[in-house]
Amino acid sequence: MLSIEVPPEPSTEELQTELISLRQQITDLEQDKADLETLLEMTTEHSDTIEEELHDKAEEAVRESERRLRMIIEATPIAVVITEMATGIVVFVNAIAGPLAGSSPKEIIGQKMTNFYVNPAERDRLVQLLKKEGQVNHHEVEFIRKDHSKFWVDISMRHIEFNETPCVLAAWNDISHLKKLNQSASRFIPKEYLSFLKKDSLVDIKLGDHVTDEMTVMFSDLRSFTAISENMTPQQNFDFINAYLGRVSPMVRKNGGFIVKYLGDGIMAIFPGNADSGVQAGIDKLNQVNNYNITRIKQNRLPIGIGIGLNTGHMMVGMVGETDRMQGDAFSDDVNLTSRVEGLTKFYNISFIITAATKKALIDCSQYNIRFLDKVQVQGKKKTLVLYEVYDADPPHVLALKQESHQYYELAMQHYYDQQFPEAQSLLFDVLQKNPQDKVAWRHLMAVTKCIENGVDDNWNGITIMTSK
Amino acid sequence: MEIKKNDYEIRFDNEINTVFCSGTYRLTGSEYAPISEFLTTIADAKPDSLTVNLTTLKFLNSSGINTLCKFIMCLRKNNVLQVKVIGSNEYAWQKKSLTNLKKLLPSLELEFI
Repeated sequence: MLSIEVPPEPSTEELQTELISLRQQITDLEQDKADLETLLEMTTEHSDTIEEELHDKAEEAVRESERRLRMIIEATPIAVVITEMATGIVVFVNAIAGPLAGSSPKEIIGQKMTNFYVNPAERDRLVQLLKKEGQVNHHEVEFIRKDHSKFWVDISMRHIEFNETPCVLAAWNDISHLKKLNQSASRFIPKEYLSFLKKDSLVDIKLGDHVTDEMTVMFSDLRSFTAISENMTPQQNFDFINAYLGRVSPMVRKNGGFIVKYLGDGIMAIFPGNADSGVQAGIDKLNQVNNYNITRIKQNRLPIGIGIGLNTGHMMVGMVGETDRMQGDAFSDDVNLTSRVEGLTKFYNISFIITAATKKALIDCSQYNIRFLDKVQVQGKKKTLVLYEVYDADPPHVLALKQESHQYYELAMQHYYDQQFPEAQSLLFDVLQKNPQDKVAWRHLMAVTKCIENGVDDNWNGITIMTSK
Repeated sequence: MEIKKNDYEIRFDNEINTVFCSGTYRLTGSEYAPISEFLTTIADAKPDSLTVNLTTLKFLNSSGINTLCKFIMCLRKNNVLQVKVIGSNEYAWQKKSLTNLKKLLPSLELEFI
């Protein structure tokens, strides 16, 4: 017989106990469930509170940093302008920027920044540069005020988020004064001279800075200035000198030279490039004087004359003087000679003399009207100087006559130095027949005639010895 | 008894039955384990009454409030019903979050100074 073990039926008492235990468990579970729900609710609520608080704090921090930024910008002694990157519209200016830009901050805000640029394309160029490089540092820009006055600033730019918009923060440093100062300074030491001495700024110039090279030096002087100035008041004297220098000086710059110094009414200039620029500058100066004389004659004033001497050679150009007072100067034997050469224009009664060294240094001497002048030995120098006359700036009819007689003249001089005096004499007669005003030809004719009349010794070389400076 | 770190500190003064929590709690869930343990030990000792001083508690993250809630629940289970929580008026979040602790333990006394 199959018997199955059946667990004994729990007694009513046991069931009662179990029921109570189960009820307790349910109560506990319900409590746990309620706790967990409360826990979840509380944690979520806490998260929200904290999140909100942090967000508020972050916003406050942004506001605070903006407030600080404004405070710093307001206090900074440099003009600061914030413009929207996309539109170029001004959204903020500090207290310095207003007066500098010649308007109140209210007037400036809302305007397009390009309104302030003398060259509006410059802003686009700078903003492009800012986008590309991430920053713009120290660019010189010229701005214009509403009253049309202009001013220079040194501008630097950065990206900035302002009112949640991409903007450009620009700092302007007013350099108008510096610009003016530099312009003034360049009137004393020209920028061409600075770059020649390989200096960026006047500040870098030191006593003893110099350049040694082959250069062409020019001396020029007013003829008979003493006679002209005798009847003038000091003010008239100054006005006259400045009127004259104002006309001829630019011709030096125009041809790539620079004036090293003024010597009263005289000018000492250097042409670091080729000798042609020196010759051209001399011709231009003489043409300026010719034009000036037309005005002077019209005003019943005496015409003026100038003499120009040009030489090419090795020389030192640099700064001399003492630390607190210096000026540009040039030295070398060739420089000293040039001054003498210029002086010889009086002796030969012509305006423009160049040395053989300059003629040789010309790229193309056929560009100019140049003829042989003389072989001379100046006082105190053993070296023979071969001199040439540049007559491009002679009055047109004189120029034409000199050109016409040029070949005869040159040939005559060859015969002269070959001691073929009668041939030279005959040719010089021909020259003077064409152009009786040719004072140089007259001088040579007299020399030739003297040789024919007196004869010459074996040591004769035809060199003119100058016995005075 | 105390746990002291750079940012926060928790200390139990058994003479006055007070837990002091101060500083900034920015720990992850599991990093709260030593603190939970610390608090459970206090609850298991079943003091007659307990004060939780939070006046210098600057910041408590979500895991932190969770730990604090569980501590209150643990107190309730242990029949520690005379509980006083002291908060600070200085930290705005405390008013909102600590008031909710009463939901877990209605007999809890709350004070903000």
